[in-house]
Amino acid sequence: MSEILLEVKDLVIHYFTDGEEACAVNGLSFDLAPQEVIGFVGETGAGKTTTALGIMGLVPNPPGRVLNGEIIFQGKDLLKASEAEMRKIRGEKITMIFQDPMTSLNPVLTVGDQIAEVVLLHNKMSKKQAMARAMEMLEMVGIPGARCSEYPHQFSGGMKQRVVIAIALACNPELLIADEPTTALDVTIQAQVLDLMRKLKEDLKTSLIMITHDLGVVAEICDKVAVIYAGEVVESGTLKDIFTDHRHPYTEGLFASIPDLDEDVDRLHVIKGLMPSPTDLPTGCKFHPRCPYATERCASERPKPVHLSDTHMVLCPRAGDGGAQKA
Amino acid sequence: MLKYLCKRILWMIPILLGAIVIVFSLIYIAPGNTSAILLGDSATPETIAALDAELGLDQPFLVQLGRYLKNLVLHFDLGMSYRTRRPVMTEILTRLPNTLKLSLLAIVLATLIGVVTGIISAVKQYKMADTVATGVALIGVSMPPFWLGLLLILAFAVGLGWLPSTVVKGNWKSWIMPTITLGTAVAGIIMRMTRSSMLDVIRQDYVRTARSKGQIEFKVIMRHEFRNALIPIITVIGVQFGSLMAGAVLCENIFAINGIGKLLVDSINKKDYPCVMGAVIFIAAICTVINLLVDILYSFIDPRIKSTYKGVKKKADDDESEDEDEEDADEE
Repeated sequence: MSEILLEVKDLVIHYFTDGEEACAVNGLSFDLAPQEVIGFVGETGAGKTTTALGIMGLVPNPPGRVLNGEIIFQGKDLLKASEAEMRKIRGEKITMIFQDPMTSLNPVLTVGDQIAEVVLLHNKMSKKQAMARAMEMLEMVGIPGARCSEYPHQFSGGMKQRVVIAIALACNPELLIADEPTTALDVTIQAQVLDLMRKLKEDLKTSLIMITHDLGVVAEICDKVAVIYAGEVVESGTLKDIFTDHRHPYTEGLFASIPDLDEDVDRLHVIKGLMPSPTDLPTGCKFHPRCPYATERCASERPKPVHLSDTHMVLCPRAGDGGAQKA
Repeated sequence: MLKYLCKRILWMIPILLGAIVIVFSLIYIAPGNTSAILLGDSATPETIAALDAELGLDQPFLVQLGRYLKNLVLHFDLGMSYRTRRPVMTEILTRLPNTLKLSLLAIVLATLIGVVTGIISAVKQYKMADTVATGVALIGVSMPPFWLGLLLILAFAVGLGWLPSTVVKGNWKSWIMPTITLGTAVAGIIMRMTRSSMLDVIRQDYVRTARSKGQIEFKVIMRHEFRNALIPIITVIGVQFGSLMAGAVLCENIFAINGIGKLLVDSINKKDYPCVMGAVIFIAAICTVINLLVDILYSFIDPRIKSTYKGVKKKADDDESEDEDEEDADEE
């Protein structure tokens, strides 16, 4: 990892509503090399989407505020960039595919217009050329270019998601953030979209942040993984590190909850308890109330990251002993 | 689309017919002997009976109604004004331009002010600008137009002497106060609708998508938010235009504008029923035409509505009852 495209350091994003402070992201750090794919894995509410919005500079304010941290993209801190600079980066260098394709497209504009919009914003070209580019993009994601003049309601869910992908890729971004791109789709379409994204990653040499809670998706497409819990990276490493040698009790729980095809079980394994409320996070290790191995120390002391190798980091004091690893 | 249009235009016939029958019946059952009032103090039973016969008022209700409809449909004839002895059609057509001018000026002013402040208010929700705008809108909505009109006259005509207190032909300045009087309340209503409709779309995912493209804020607001917020706004503007025609009655009286509203009030006072009928029918017709225009506009704004016109064709029914309510209000 000689070169680094994106480095996020100690990012803190809180939401302020009705006098309450919701700590969505709490000191989250990771980095990403060019053409690398990182998977963000974690439960709903873990702060994955907020992190993504933070990178885009789109945290809704109010109620959200970035309180601390650095987001260094190509050597430049995005948190210090002006809104005008961010507008140049958004849509051209960093783009995002949002969670729900059904609502991510403007219902009163044709899909062609919506793709051409981003092309026009970042390229000096005529409307006609932008439209031609839009058709090209549609073809690339497997939709006939002639459907450019149709409106979103004339497309199926999977096709809408592909239109959203076309918008995100129209300017050949350096970094694509895909926020659960397959969650709203049924399984066959999911496979299509994943195939498409893998192909695009290879063809366009784009770096990718893949936000998902589906470990299957991660295994298929990612180079490295960051497991996120309550706004922190609790474990990160290469695909191999995480899938074969996970150390954090939360990661362990995540993997244990995947049903095994060979084993006959009545009940699926669950991680006991619920994600803590972001307005009332536990002290010490944020996972300790749900952790089967928790000690008194866990409740009072914030765990320090343990680096098991160059790539593998675990936020759990037990990690060094290898105790959390399943035999 | 064409089929839908034809259907909508055909639907206007029963709506207008209904309005005519209702107003005609109301006038028929209204107390007081028309001929006696027209003849005044010199009336004798003989002269009253003679005038009744001349005006056809001695005929049964259905015969009178039938004759009225026949004249209207076949000859476009709304009868003679009792007061002026001129055709009602002429009376109305000479005054219609004034009323239309007043209503159009008022709705244009109200739309401009209402939409612009509504958008600003929604974008700056809970900020200073929003608080001020909603406050002013509330005052505007709560202020009775006739009172506002009188205040304006007191301030700008009597006090400062900047503007004429009545509308004078060929003097555009004289239209300023009537326009403000009539438009203020509507501006408030349009502003509130624009604000709430914008707030509905402002947090939509596609707005975030637009921002993620690097679009500038003004374009995000106009192209992505406002266009999607338009339907309720257009609806309100359409409905308000209808009520403006009714509101013009007071405004025209205050500023002595020779329009349909003034004709209506004068005619009611003088029991000039053919004129009352004619004026109400015209107002009703304008309302239905505006409703139609609003519905057509929908399909240009929202492609999803356009595509439903091609398939389902049940929509006209809903609008009918609404129109008749308006006519009743006008009649009073």
